[in-house]
Amino acid sequence: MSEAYVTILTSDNYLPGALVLARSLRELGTTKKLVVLTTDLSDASTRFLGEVYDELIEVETLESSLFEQLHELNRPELFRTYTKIALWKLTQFSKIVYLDADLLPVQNIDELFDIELSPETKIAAAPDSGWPDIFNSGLFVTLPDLSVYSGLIDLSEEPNASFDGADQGLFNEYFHSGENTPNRWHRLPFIYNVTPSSGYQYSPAYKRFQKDIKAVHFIGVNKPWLTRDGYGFASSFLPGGGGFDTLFEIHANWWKVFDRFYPGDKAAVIFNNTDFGKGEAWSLNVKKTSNSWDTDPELAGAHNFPSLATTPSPLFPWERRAGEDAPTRFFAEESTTNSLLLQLKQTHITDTSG
Amino acid sequence: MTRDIQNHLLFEVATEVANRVGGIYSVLKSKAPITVAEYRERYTLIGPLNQASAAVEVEELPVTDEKIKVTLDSMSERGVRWLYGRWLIEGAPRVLLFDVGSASSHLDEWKTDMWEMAGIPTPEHDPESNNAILLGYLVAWFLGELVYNDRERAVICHCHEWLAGVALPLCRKRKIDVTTVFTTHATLLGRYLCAGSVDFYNNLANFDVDAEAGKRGIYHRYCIERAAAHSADVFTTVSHITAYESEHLLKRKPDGVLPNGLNVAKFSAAHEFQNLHANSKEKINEFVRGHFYGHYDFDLENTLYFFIAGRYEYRNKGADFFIESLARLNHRLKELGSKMTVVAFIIMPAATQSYTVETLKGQAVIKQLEGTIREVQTSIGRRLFEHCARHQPQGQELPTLDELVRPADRVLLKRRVFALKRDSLPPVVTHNMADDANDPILNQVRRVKLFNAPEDRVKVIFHPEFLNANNPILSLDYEDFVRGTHLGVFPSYYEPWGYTPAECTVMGVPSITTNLSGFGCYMEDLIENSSDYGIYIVDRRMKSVDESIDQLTTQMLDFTKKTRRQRINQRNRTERLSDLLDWKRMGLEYIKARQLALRRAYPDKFKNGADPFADAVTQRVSRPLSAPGSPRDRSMLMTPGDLGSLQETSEQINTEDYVAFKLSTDEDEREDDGFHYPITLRGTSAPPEKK
Repeated sequence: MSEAYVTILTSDNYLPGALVLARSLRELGTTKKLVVLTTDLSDASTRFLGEVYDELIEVETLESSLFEQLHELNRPELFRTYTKIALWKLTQFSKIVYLDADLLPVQNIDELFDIELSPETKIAAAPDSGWPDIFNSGLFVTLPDLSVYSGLIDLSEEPNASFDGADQGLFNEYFHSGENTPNRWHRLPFIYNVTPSSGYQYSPAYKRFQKDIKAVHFIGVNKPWLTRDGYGFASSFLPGGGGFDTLFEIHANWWKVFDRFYPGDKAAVIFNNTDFGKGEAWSLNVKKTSNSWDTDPELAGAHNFPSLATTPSPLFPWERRAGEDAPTRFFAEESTTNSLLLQLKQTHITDTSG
Repeated sequence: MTRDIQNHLLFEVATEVANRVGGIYSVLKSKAPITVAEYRERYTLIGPLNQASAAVEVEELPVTDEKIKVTLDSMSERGVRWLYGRWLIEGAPRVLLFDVGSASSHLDEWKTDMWEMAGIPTPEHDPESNNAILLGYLVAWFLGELVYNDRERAVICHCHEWLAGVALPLCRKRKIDVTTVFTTHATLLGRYLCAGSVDFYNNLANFDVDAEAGKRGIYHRYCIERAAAHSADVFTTVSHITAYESEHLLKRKPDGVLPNGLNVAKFSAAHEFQNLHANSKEKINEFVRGHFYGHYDFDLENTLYFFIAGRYEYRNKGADFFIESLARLNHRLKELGSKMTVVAFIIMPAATQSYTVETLKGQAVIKQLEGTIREVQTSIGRRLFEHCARHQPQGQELPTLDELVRPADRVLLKRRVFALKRDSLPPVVTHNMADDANDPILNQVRRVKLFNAPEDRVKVIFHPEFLNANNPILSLDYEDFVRGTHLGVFPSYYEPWGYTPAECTVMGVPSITTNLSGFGCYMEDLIENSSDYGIYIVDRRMKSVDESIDQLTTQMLDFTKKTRRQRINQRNRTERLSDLLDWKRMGLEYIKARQLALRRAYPDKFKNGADPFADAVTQRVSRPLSAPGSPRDRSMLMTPGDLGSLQETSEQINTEDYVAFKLSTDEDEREDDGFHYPITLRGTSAPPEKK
């Protein structure tokens, strides 16, 4: 049985993240399968995912009904994160590493598949930064298991099953508490899930420990794909100002990967599928129109325009006399500089269209 | 019998004939020379009489055309007052200005007729539409009377904008024997919808136009516009994007596009306009030295002047984009450790009280310093001369510095230098704003923190008044200012044509525009490598707002990376595009549109490819055409979008050698002098080959 990285995409808005996630994993030389669970995606998103993921699996959306908690968390958009429970149904895989679509691996993390899990510790994850002492559900190693699946489903139907109303609360509840066994989850080093909004991401630490970081997790509402403005991105995170350079660089790295694979028109298609990145005239479809006077066949013969009158107006008395004879000498064509010509000067402009 | 098509009369109707209000004035004025050249005295512009403006712009003449004279006389008998004469601009076209007030007794009767004829309601208190109705009925009266008197010649009536469009439904309903063209330069509803910041383009096909017009209290005006569009023989607009807008908002697909041209001043050598750039730039330098006194720590040789100018329409003109991308540019320049400084000017008139004290002081202290240095210079020269002249064999040949610069001079100089000290940063805005706290431009500048701090590589100056050589600060006319800058930035959201970037182009100043502006689309269609020609186009259609701003930032950043030599080459190439924007080329579409109108009115004449103009090639004009006088005593100030007629001032150029050409030693760059670089024209928009 095979092992796979799995992510979930429940809306087109996270597509840029999911694409860069997969591209980065491949760039870093993973040997594992890449799988994405999808719900309600546009055709374009599905097409882009198909280019880089080995498998797309359509799953049903599972919604949290704990809106009160979600609102308290100020992240009501997370109500679909219960969909993650479907991971334990993927029994075609012996072991999976789940990654959030807003996670950016910066080193190969295939070693995560070597972690031994047991019936006592069914999940391995990195701790959430600070209090409370729980794991962050943005990255974890686990074994698909239908009993866990139904256990989570049952738990999710209980009121107050999740303290934050989202998956993180639910999973920590399930894998952590209830049986007085505080360590039912395998604690991964923080370097697998570095959340840049944390307070201690200050520059000296970054300089010292930067090389250890395996994956960066853009938690919160500021995703790197929302703006190309690294300064705006970095300063929006930390009002105190610490860690600015770190964030700036991480943001730049995210875009470097994105731009390498999705330049120009591809980027436009990806962003036009999102709620935040639609062009200001994305649906405007001005057809190439031609002027009626250019297409009218009956008028075609009449395009022999009157040349502009270039004869000087009579000024001297002899010009006004009747019966004036035409001059006998020959005059060359007037030079283009002093006559009004309805014609481009061909010497200046090379018309390659023919 | 049918009328003589070949020698048809052309009347162009607009409210801005010899009366500057907005952009139509520029269109008519700059187009006049080629239209007059084509029609001579068969061309007449018709508009409402504005006494004040006509007094300086129009010279009254007797009516020479017998038929027109009879017509006007008969109108006079019924109390209509009018002024006939020549408009004192290049080309000196004939103008006929109706005093709409003299017909106001008919207003109620005509309004009733409009309702009965076209179902267009008109409210009591909208003087603008009342005047439009009066003008329209007077024009229809005149045309009807004229074609009654003159059974020989065909007549084309070409109306611009809804304000001059009332005559069109009248011509159609009353079967007046004229053929008509209507050109709209923007749609009423489009303007209102965009100003209201709705998602305009993405919903263009879905608006309930009647309801939207009603909501905004412009239903009657909208009706006039729509009636004009539908009753004209040929309906045109100024760009493809406005054609699309018209199709959906006015419900008639335009027959074609009549882009706006410019009257291009031709220079015999490229260094002439480069010279103008250098001269004008020096004037901007002077202002900048004063404005940044105490913080003038950047090198003007490595400073670029960017600007945005136009009506103060914060969103429509893209001021929001400009400021946001300047902030990003500032960050990127800092990150790169660039030695370049960008001074960005925002020239958009807003309500102000006066110049700020700081602004005036800045110019004053620099002037004082200059004056003092001149004095000291003179006295040093005198002392040096005395010393050398009185030289004795045993003495020093040259004086010491202390002997030259006396303590009194030092004190004076120190005082001047101390006067340059200032605690505050150089101000962003040059004037006291009427509503500083709520000004959208200032608020965004505050938000992105572009406060002209010393470390900022992008400085911002907001000049909330149109430029004028007589202003005490930044004393330059708009045209000279533009010439002195390096890059015009016009990232508009709604811009049916876009004269500002076109003006930049003919002056050889590169510019940035968008694919939502008529000009941007036109250039994008016309040439392939437009950015090489200094026409940068931001994608505001498909790209997200963030991506568009990023693109704009990158374009500006790339521009700052150009060497002086590369900028000169680019300006040369930009200036070459002016041929494409010249009325001599653009006017061709007007001719074609009029021919279509004639064909629609007189199809028999064109049957089987017949060309009723076949003989016209040899046609000669014998009637004298008076030379234009110059307008009397009215300062014809140029404002953005009004540069249709640049040439008057441009002719007086001094033509010294342009030193900048000698500055570069780079061989590769030297080869490309901007003149042999091919313009790749795209297919259909190219002018027809001369047969």
